[in-house]
Amino acid sequence: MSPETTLDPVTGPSGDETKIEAPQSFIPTPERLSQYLEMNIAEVDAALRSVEGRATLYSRIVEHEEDLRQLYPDFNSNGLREQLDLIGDVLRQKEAYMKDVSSPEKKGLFRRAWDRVKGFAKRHPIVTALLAIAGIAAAVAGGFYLTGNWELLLTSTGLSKVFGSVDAAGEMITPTPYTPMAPGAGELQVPVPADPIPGAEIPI
Amino acid sequence: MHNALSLTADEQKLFDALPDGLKEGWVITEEQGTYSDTPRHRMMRMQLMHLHDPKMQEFLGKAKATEGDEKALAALVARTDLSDVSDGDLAELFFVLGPAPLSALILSLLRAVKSDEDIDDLASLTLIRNSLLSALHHS
Repeated sequence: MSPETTLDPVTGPSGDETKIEAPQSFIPTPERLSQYLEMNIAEVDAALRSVEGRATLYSRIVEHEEDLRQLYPDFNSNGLREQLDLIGDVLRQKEAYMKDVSSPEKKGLFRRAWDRVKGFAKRHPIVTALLAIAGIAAAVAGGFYLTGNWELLLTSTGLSKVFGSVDAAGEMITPTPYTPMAPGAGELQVPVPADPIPGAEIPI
Repeated sequence: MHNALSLTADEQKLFDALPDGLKEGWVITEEQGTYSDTPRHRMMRMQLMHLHDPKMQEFLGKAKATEGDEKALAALVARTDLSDVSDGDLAELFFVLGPAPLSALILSLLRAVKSDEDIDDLASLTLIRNSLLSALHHS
């Protein structure tokens, strides 16, 4: 596993490669932990949802702190516990939300709601724009921060008016201001190194 | 209930000011859920986003291909049509967004209501917000 540089390739729909420059940060998403620790993703997911599971994951990650620091120079195990707790929290929130929107008793209501939302491009384009930007923020935000165009996008789509100002819009729908998301984060992930952390195959 | 609107106290005041013809038939319930979002939680929701619809993948690929050109990106966003996107991916996008921006939109749309269809649209957004608030608040 060789240390990564700050440039990561991402592949567009036509197979072309685009370079996005951003500092690397280690964010222990289930996918990343699954690959680094060579664990089944369902196993990681379950571990993240319990205090004991997170403690076990923490121990396993910390065992490889030096290796991780080679990949992520700013890696700091002091903040790791908090990050794992945060992920556990958000995973529980997401599970509750997804369970609710797909529950049999609300199925009809949500079926109707999604159908309405699908027609918003014509009736309420600002809502469609906001959802599109939320997706972009999650998948490719880092690049826009670095090129400083995020604010301009909020203005040109009219969202800054809805939220009162560019700053207010930025606060509500973009990642932490001026803390770019690491490339590879979110939906269009940059593949993690092919090799797991040395020694990570050792069972818990 | 297909004719329910879940509104905050402030939103109810705006709804109450609408013409009777538009209000007729709607049952208002008070949205009591609250959630103080944080940049860390928002960032993590983004990290945990999983979109599966090829249309969304294509859209995000195009967004990346703009390489941050704000005009190209704004044009792409303006052309975006989610009519064929899967329900699951829409649910994901709303989760990434969280309830606060949704509330700002609801307020904005309430101020511009002109038809029954607008209220139908609002009802959909308040249903989604209610689900988000409930899930985020109780975790």
